[in-house]
Amino acid sequence: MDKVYKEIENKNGEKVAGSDFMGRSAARRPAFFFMRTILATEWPPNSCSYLRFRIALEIVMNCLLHLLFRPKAKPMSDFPPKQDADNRSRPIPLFAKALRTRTRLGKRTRFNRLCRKILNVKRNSPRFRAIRSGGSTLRPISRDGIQILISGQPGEPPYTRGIHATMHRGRLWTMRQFAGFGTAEDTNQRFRYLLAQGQSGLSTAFDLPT
Amino acid sequence: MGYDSDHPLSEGEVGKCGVAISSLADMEVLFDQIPLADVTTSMTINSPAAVIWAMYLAVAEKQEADWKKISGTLQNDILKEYIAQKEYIYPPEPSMRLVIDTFEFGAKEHTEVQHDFH
Repeated sequence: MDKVYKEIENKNGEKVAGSDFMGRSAARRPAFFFMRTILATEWPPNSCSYLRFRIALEIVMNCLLHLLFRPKAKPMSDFPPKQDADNRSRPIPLFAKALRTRTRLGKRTRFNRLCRKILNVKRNSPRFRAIRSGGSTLRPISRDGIQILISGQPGEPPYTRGIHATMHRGRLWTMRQFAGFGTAEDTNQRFRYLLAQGQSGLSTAFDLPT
Repeated sequence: MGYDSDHPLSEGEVGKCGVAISSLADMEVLFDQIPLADVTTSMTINSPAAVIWAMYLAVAEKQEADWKKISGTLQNDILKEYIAQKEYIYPPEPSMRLVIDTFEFGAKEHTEVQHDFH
C-alpha cells in the first residue's frame, strides 16, 4: 500500500509530515498515529510490522471496549471507593504492555516506580500512602541528599564524584606486591626483582617481633 | 612489636612473617639501590609505625632524596591492634599521641605519605 501521508508545507514554509486531505498536520494526533500504523503495515508482514499492527489493533479494540463497558460512576457516599479485584477495570495485558512501551516516563516517575519496587509496596496501598505522606521515616532519598551528591565536580569538595579530577584516566594505578622475607638482604633482592619486572610501587611486610 | 631480633622473646619468631628490621642499618640494606624518590612504598605496620617511618625518611635522606618527593602509605592504625591483632606496644593514649604526632610531622614536612588510619 502506498503512503497515506506525504510531506506538506506548513504556513512557515517548512516541510512536515501531514495529510493532504486534512489540510493540516495530523501526525501527532494519536488516532491518526494508530491509523497510520495500521495502514502503513507492509504485506506480507514481517515480525516488526505485525507487532505494530497487533498493538495498534489492541489499543483500538480496548478503546471501543472501554467505551461500551465503562464502569459506572460511584456515588460519593462510599468515597474513597473500595478497590476490589472485581470492580476494577483491567486493561488487556497486551494493551497495558503497549501503554508502557509507548509512554516515555519522566525521571521522577521512573524513580518512584523503582522505589515502590524496592520497598515492595503497591501503589495506593496504605503503606505506600504512609510513606508518601511523610508519616514514616521510610523516605528513600531526599532531594537535598541528591543535591549534595551531585553538587561538586570530580576532584572538588565534597568529593562524592571522586577525589581526583581525572581519576584513573589521569594516571595508571600503582602495582605493588606485598613482600617481606626474613632478612633485609633477601627482601631487598625481592624488591629489586619486582621493580625490574615493572612493578610501580613497593609494599613491605614487616616481622612480628621487631 | 619493637623487640630486637636477638631479644629472648623474639626467639623462634624472627623473620617468620616478614622482614625483620632491628635498626637503621637493616632499613638501609632493605632499600639498598632502590630510589625512594621514585617508588612509592606501602608499609603495613602499626605499633612501631613512627619509628619505621623515621627510619624510612633517614634512608631517603642518606640517598639525598627530597622529602617532598617521598610518597607512600603507612598503615599507622594502632586502634586496630587493640581490637584485633593485639600487637600493641604502648597503652592507647600515648599510642594515639604518637599517631597524631606523625600526622602533624607529615603535614609540616609536606611528605606525601598517606596514613591508612581508619
